[in-house]
Amino acid sequence: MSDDDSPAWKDDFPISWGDDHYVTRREFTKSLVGVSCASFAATATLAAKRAGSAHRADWPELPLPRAGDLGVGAAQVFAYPGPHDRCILIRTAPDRFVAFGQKCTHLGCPVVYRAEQNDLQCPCHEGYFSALDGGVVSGPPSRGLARVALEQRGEELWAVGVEL
Amino acid sequence: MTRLESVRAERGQRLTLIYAVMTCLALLIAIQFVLLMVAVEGFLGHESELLWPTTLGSGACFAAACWLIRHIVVPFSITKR
Repeated sequence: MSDDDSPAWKDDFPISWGDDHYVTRREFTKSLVGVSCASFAATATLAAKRAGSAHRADWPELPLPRAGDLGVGAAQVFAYPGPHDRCILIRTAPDRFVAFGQKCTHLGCPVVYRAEQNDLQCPCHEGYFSALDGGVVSGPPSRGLARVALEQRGEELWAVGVEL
Repeated sequence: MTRLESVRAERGQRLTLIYAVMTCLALLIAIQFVLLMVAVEGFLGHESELLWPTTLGSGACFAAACWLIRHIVVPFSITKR
């Protein structure tokens, strides 16, 4: 077939189907800049999101009415600050309570209190946290548990904030 | 140098430039991924002081990538004139 016999549409669309899928080095290099842009955008989004929530001081105040019933060395679970945020309240001495977020900082499993060892154990990957301050004792977690600020108001114990 | 040799040399030079830019971009993106990982760790760990420096670093890498890509987006025929 000579060039004169080729249909008119070939002049309008001179790129063949095969060539259409061919990515040149130049195009690939340009797409790398897109990846770079996306990476920058993701990092900036994280920073902006944290900046937006960094000044959050309006933690709700929640009474823990049954805290007085806890025996020394006993623990109970409560929801704070949201209904799905599980925390664990521990009575370490007759006049001393501590409370921590129950979510392990490794992969989010709920931690359990062990009174004999006076620590909090994550049963998923054997992470251990101190029951005194929530700090990491051993295991894979790299950060301590979130600590719930407590306040004694008369006879009642109140959760008043979270120290991250 | 004949015309054919000249064209081949020019093409070789273009490819060298494109490969150099690709290598630099790959390095910059690798750095950005490391910065992103640090930012995610800082975000999840509530270590806010890590976030803005990583954003700044990532932005610098992106600016460098834009500067580099300029060398191959602008056609040789224009830059040579």
